[in-house]
Amino acid sequence: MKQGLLAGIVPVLLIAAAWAPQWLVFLLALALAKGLVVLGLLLLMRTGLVSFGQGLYFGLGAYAAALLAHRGGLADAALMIVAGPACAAAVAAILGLLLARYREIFFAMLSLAFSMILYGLLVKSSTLGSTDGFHVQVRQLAGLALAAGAERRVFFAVSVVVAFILTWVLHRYLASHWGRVSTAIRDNELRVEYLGASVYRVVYANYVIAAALAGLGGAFAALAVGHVDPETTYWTTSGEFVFIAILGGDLRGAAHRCRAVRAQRLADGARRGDARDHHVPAGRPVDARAQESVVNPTKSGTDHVFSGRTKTWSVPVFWIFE
Amino acid sequence: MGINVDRVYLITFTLGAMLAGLGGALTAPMIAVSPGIGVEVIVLSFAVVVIGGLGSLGGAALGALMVGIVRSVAVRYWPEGELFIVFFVMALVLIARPKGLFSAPEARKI
Repeated sequence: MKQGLLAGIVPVLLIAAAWAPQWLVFLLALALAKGLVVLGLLLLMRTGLVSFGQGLYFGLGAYAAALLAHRGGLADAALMIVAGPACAAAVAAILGLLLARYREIFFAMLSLAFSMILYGLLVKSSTLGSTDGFHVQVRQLAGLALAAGAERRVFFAVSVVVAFILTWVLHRYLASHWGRVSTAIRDNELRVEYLGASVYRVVYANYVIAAALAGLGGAFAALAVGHVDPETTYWTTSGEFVFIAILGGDLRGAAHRCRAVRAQRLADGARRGDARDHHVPAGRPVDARAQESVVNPTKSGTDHVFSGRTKTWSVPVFWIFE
Repeated sequence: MGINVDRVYLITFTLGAMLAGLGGALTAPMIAVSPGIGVEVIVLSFAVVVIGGLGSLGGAALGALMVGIVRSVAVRYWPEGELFIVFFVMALVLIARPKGLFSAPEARKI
């Protein structure tokens, strides 16, 4: 019945992709992209691990996809959607060898450390736009040219289908042998070893899968926002994913979709409030052009600048530290 | 064994909050105070505790010194690395000693 409900949401979202106003499509696209990251995080939580560094793979996916379009000259959404998770999985395959040995807070902090190292590198790399990041303009999907204004709707529709398929695959995975071992590892790792299963291998595999999902989410987020910046890898972004996952609570795949939307909406509300309460530094070098097409032009100037951002509660804090 | 666990938790938490407040009060005269002042402290204090080893007072002291000194040295000699040098050190410590520098031995739960 739950699967039926999930399948029922897909046509609704596809209709929304075609008919809903731009702002709603933008909101849903971003929520779905984050939902994919949380889907990976939920797999890790099933294994008893909380990662505070999924921002690393979210950012990697976003940057890999964006660089492909920006520097590689391959501005095709289909390629970007593949490049994001591939890049994230490749890095996770290396870091996972180390991280799969860690548990609890040590796992959380080590994964956070890696994401912060990437953040530090991105912020200092002026060729990649430093703290401002850079734009991604894509109007092509698997060789097909898309009409201006329609491209974000198409990307959202693609993300709906992809997210649905992946949720179903993950559901099957969790019901499989390895999926059940994951839950057993959360409950009692030592006994799993006694029973002859390799805890290390299952944790490693789940880590790489979670990273690939985060990379995919990053690629979709880059397509939805049309802009990437280092904040995708900052720890508050990772914290936001954990926050959404905990809000989802019951560790069921479908629940996260709804929670991600809700968190995003709360965030937008909070952001609007913050923009009024805090004075934005006048000379802040943020280019709002990328957001223009997805943001209601009647909004005030400060709203413009921040509408494309993907943060929640960290917004006012960030102005101070930036 | 007749120990009121809730009370111990309450006292511990209150003590922890008091120490955090004291830290804030001591820092305030040296920096600009702002509402979001705590966000970086969260992660840095976690880094300190993890470097030192959970529950070890000496470890926490050493971790705090390491984080502070490493960061100051980075600001002076390698400003580009200032943002992540602390996390780099934390990663190195955890790779060398997965439970931190002075972790207490744990009983295995079977």
